Amino acid sequence: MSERKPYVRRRYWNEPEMGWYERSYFFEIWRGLKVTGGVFLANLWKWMTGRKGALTAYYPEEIRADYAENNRGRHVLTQRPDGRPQCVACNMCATVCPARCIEIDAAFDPDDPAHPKYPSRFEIDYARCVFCGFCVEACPEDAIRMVKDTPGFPGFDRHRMWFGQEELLNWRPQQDVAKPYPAAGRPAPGGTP
Amino acid sequence: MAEIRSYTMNFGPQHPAAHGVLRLVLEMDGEVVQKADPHVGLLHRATEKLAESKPYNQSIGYMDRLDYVSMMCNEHAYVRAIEKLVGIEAPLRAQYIRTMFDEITRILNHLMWLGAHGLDIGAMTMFLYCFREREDLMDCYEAVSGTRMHATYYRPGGVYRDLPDTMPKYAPSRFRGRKEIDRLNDARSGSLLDFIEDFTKRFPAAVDEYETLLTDNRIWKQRTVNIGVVTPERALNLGFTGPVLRGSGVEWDLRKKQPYAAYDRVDFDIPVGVNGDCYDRYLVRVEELRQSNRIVKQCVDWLRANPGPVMVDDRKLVAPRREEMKGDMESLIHHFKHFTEGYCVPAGEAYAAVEAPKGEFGIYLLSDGANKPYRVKCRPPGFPHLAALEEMTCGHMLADVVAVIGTLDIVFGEIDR
Amino acid sequence: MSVALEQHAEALSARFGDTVERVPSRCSELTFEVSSGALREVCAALRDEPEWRYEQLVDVAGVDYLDYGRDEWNTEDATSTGFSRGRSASVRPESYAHYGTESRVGPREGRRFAAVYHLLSVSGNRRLRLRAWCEPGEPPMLDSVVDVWSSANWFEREAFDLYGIVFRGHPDLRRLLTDYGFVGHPFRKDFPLIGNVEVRYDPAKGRVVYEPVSIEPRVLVPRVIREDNRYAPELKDPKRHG
Repeated sequence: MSERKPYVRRRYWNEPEMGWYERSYFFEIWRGLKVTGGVFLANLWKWMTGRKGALTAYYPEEIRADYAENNRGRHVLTQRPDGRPQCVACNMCATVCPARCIEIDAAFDPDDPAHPKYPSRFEIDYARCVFCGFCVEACPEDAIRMVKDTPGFPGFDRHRMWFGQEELLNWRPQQDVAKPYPAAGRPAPGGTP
Repeated sequence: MAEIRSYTMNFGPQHPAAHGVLRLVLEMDGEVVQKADPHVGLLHRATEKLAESKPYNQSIGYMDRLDYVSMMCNEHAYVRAIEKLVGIEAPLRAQYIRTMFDEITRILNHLMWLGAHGLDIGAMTMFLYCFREREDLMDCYEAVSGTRMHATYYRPGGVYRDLPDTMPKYAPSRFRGRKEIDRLNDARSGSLLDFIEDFTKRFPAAVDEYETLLTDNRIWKQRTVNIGVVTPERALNLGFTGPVLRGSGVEWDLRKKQPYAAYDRVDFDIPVGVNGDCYDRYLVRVEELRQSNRIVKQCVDWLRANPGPVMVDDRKLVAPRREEMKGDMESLIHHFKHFTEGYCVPAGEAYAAVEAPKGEFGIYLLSDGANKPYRVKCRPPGFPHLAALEEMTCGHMLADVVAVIGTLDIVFGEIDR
Repeated sequence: MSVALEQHAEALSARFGDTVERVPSRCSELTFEVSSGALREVCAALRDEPEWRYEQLVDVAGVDYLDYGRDEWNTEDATSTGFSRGRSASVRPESYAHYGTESRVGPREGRRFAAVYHLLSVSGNRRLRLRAWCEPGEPPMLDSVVDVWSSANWFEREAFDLYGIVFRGHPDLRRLLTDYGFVGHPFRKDFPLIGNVEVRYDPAKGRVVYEPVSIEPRVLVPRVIREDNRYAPELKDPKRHG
């Protein structure tokens, strides 16, 4: 390794041996074409009869609806019945976030003695989010969730990929406090996912 | 007589055959490579340094992103390193789930490799066929963890949640009729295990299909036989592991030799090559597809018969369940402590390796007793493989460089980290 | 630790004498510290001599022990202030008086950098870890083992790149993972996590420009060290790390 050996041109020969069966060409071609042609013809037949053969989705028109129930798509902030966030600004999700993409400012609301602490600002930077789901696991109030959805928010500018509290609350409003929580380790008793 | 000069050629970093962001500076004599100098690091994200700044659990998700084609195997190595240092053992059911998903990951990775390698050296159809099967396995990933790739599913002490009882189903649309949907949903009507079992029944036929198209294909053989030959001695000295080492004829597989998870409880064979060329490595990997399928089948049978916990019951290491946390003050304290501070791992060092699809993926973990690792070193299998690229390609033609890069199964997430 | 492994360790200690020193390990792994002067001979012997036959060098990891055993938050008595999550710009110990700053393991006699070698014997199905402390000074120096195991080539380049450890006798010691023209060794503990410069394309100038980094560093979780009595106390031996 210490000094480079002088370059010797090697004899270059990688022609594999072929028997008469391979040499006769047509059997081998037919064997391969049977596989590819079979798929092609089957899909063609389906297409001609108005069905779809390929498993691929025609993306903008056809969106796959078959996400798993616990798919980690986009975040939702759940609401209380009066429409305010269930979040109590405890900062657990921001602490546990590996990408540090959640920012919360807590505020005090003297008119609501039951829930005096609320987030005056709750922002998620989707340019940094890694969709690991730790925020959902950590939230003691079930105030943040991830629902199945295509996280399709392309942006031309990373600064436009901050999503604020209003959007997170209202893009798909969710209130049901009785939702079974994502269980650590075991399925939640009595809850259908 | 014309003077012959060497040319210096830049290959990549944005070349489709470079498998990511490999920049290769080639010195060519005509069409024969004389010197190859890979420049890596274009995907360097300092994962190891980032891991030093976070509590242990938060780095699990980063491990997925190292080798982003074999996600759960990377997590497995990291999680095992922590478990080794803390001195706990995951429950048996979790071990089986890990074994099963490691093998699913291996199939995923080898399918990706087969498709991409085929595409590189001229077999376009392979790519499409491999992705057809990959899609089903991605659905398994999604059903169990919630995401199709970056699962964050393994945890120190087990796995995050038990296997789901339902599979997501296709919905009718104007592109697919009711009958077609029923046919597609047939395998998805049961639990995840039913779906995986159905897959293991279908999969050998798919592998036969790939082999029909490639194994005796004369173009395939011309492109791979006698290309990039590595002798067993050199392979060991160069630090090769995994299928690349076995392709050279060294019988070494961590799953057999240093069994972890439930590998000592399942039955499988290790394919070994003879000549150490690209074709042998191809044969080894295709046979591994079949063997992985066998392991997955055995794991499905075991998991079906043996329900049980999938996480250790240790509140210092594992967060309490949601319903416990909601009802019990002490659990709530544990929950807060777990997610804000994490757990402290006793001072010491551990090296945990798993047989990832590409070779030995190891995590060297050095802890000083804090809640964050002091040093995490990932040992990516592709790193020494790529380092040996020069030795493997010298004297071959330019087109064979593509074949060699393909056969090394390089993913830059793990090489650059 | 199994009997065979123990015998192997004793044989190793006997063969190499005082150039190697056994280090106790938590999880039945063999660890030896090699004096940096004898590194190359020990490695060559480990590869070639029939009773060891470590054919493979699996990994070389550089380690910077600067902050070893140093926490950022005192856990022994309560403080009157909380740890301001997400808002503290820096938790270097000097700016926070109540942080536990003392390294609990004690100084390692002024030694800072080490390289950790993981060896694998395919024929004997054994693993071995060697730690070699670099000679103090800047740059830290070690002998290269490239001529023993070719796989050390890139691993040593990586350790040089990230930690600045210079491997004497390495044929091609260039930077590997960092950018062309990168300044500094990013994995050293005194190199900031966010880096020093950031890169962007400047449309006005029509080229890529380097600027001082603009990210605001945030430490969400302080580094704490807790004496945990669950782990066996006899293993909590500070000498383990030299």
